[in-house]
Amino acid sequence: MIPDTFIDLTGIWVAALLTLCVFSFLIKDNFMFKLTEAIFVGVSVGYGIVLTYQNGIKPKIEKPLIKYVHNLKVDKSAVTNTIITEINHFIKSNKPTNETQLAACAAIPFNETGFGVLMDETLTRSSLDLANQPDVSTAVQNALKNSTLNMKNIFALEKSAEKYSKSYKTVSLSRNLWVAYIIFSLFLGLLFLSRFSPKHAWISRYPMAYLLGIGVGMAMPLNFQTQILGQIQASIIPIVHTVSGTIDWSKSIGNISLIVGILSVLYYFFFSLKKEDIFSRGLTKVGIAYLMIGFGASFAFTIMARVSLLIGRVEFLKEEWIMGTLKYFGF
Amino acid sequence: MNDKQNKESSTFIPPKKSWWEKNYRAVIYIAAFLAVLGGMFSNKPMHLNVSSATKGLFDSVEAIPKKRQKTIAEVEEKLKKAEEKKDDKKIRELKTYLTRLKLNTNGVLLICFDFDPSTAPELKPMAISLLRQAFKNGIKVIGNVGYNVISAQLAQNIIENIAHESSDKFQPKKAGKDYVFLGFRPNAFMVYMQMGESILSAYETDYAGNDLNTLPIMKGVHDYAEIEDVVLLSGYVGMPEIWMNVGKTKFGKDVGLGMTAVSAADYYPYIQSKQITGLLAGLRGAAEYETELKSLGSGVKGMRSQLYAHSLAILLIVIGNIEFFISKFRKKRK
Amino acid sequence: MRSKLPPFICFICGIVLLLQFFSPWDPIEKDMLEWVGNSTQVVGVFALAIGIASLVHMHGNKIKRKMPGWGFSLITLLCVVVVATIGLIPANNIKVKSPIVAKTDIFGETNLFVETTHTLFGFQTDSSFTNTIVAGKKIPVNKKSVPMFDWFYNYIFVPLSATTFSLLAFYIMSAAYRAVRVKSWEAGLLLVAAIIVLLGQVPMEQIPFVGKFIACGTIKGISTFEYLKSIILDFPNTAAKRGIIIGIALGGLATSIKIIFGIERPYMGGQG
Repeated sequence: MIPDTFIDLTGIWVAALLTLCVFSFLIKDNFMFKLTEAIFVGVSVGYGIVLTYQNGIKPKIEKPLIKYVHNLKVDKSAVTNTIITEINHFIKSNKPTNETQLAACAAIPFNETGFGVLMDETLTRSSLDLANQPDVSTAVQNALKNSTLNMKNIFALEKSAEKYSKSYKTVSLSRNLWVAYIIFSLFLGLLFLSRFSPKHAWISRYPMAYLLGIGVGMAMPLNFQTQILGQIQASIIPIVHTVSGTIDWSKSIGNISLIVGILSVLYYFFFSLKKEDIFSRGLTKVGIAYLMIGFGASFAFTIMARVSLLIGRVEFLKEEWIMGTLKYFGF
Repeated sequence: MNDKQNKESSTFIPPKKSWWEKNYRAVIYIAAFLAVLGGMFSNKPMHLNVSSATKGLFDSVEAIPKKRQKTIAEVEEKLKKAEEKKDDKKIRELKTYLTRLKLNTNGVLLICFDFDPSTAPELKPMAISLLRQAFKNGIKVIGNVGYNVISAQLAQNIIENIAHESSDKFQPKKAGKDYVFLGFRPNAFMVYMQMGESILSAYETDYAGNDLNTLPIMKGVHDYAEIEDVVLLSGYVGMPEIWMNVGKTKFGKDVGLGMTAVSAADYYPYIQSKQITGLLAGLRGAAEYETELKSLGSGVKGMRSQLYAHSLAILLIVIGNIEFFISKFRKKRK
Repeated sequence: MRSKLPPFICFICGIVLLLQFFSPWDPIEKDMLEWVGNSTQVVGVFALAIGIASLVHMHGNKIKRKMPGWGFSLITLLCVVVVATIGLIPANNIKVKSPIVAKTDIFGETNLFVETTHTLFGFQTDSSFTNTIVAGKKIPVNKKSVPMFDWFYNYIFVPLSATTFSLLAFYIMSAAYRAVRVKSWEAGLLLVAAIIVLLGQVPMEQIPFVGKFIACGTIKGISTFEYLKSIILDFPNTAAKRGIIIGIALGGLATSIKIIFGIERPYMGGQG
């Protein structure tokens, strides 16, 4: 890896020095390590702030509210009129002879104004039903009336409004409700900040309870399906596995060991039962044996994981720092 | 009290520590460092056997274009039947769906980059291989981050770099057309559920702040119905469960996993139950994937260091146990 | 208000969302997802913010009271301010242009050129493609504008985060020597399984001189230990982990029901 620019080269040197400072902890806890620790925490919190703003506050709170305020000034009928004019224009220039062609003419301005997105969900081009309507403008107005406006459609409307008319007013009920809901959520979120006052810390229970209730209610049936039903279903397997009439011994033994293991481990976790007789003590021992083998595998995997992290750092020091610097200066 | 203790401790003569007992830590640390470094100086290609868990994920991703063709054929079939029955509403629905499906004929892969720099050495090679495989096959890629906001920048850099690799195998890919990185939104579980309704309403903009409405790739992707596979590369425990709940159980998508080795062993039951298509377990999984893709990178390169480090670990375990048994034997004799 | 209302909120939210799962009417579920999803995202932003704010609060207190190590807290806060400022201020025109650099691709061929510009402020890396003709060949040039925000991420945050965790490699080696000892039959079993998986994880036969001897030949075309490793992972490990998964899920289910019905109240901060 050759650093592209001198700024990158400086960066690689800074990174290498920081890496060595952190490694110095292996010898002894020292000043340099503490310094890098402080920088680490500071930089990651700084990142947290910027990224939370860019990925949370900006798209989810700032943008919708600004858009709402902006769109209050815009008028809905203007968009309808624009579309009707556009459709008439297309009909004039293309002179459709049958119904399909007429629908196609109507579709183009719809798509161009962004109403195509709206039509995907609630009404499609053919639903304009131009043949049975008295004229184009009634058809369009009826189509718009019949469409239920949800969030996505409203955004589509806004986009077209921005494009075609500056005096478009989206004062639909769901729109207002939507913004009220966002503001309500915002208020709930702000209640979290009460944590900083010991006296009022209890207020933060409301948003917590709200988030927890929603999360738990939504996840419960899915968790049950995935982790209990799915896993139990996969454990119901044939003890004697046959392949075209003959017994597949290795697979059968594997299946038996799997079933015995699952049952014994579950039995071991069953604490509300006294396990004193020989059978249950034996089954518990088998369960422990299975668990130990499982933990052994996990331990071996852990060694690989930790070494991988070290490999990443050593590779950086060797390839990017030493070799990169040498290559940058043309060696 | 304190004085008494001091007196006691001053009269107590600790047994003499041998050189090894004093310095074994330093020796082990240096040995570990050398083992890792030593592996980097060899350029001999390393042949690895590809396990079935890795192969499962590879095949699933490789088959995305075929899956898309199959879906298109199925929808066309349904459309014919609906036209026979003259079910207008259904015809409309199917037609829009078909138009969307035909916009990305090679299929769409959703990759979830849930790792930060501390687990990147294991998961970044997987991400690179997956992206290369997808771009090589003309599969469109949607990327996102679910757990930690800090992962977003890392993921963005990886996608940008791989998309701009140009070679005979594929031309540089364009943001917004061939791939889109959605970034992070808080509360992963709810976001993923909402994506099942509409990706647009869950994310609204991509990581760079572009309106999703305006991106060509999103014209063909409305929700999970237009996504073939989901692959989660996770350094966090708990995320795979969320994806299995939402992706597999709720929306019936093929979910693949790439995990750090620490937690990889915990997800083997899901392979047997076929709730995931495959599992890449740590650096070894990444290396196997690179071998299967025939595009070697830092995964295979790291395996040689792993070879020496593993040998060292086994040696240390054996030495430790021999020492333990000798001391036990001596105690018994006394 | 303090102790009655939160469980009530939790109950209503939990029950409504639980029931919508079983509702046969599609639009209910769709609208619900859209509204609830967006709302939880908005509230979730503040859950993130509270973590950041409490950290800043803590370090601020440390500096105020001149507690031991307050100098480090000062450095921490300084870093917070610098990185946040650089990222939040919109991109500007303070640019440092660098020469075009050739890059080799994955196959070792030089067919991509990169032109990098560094800007001080801003958040998003801009990158665009143009084509130039070099030596009669059309070659893409990647024009990148990298803000300093990215520089801080790549050269300060990444190395610090990665290196801090890589220290664990040394500790686990030390633990392998000190802690993994056959003190009972359970520990023995764990150890044997661990060693088999360790041997199967890497191609042992490729160690010079002794490798072939350690690897113990092959079974069904793959090395013995790799085969044993796959058996351990696929059967005993799967059985043990499945037992744990089902156990945890059952416990989780019970806790979920308790939370919805207000028997368990984790949101009360231990005062419920």
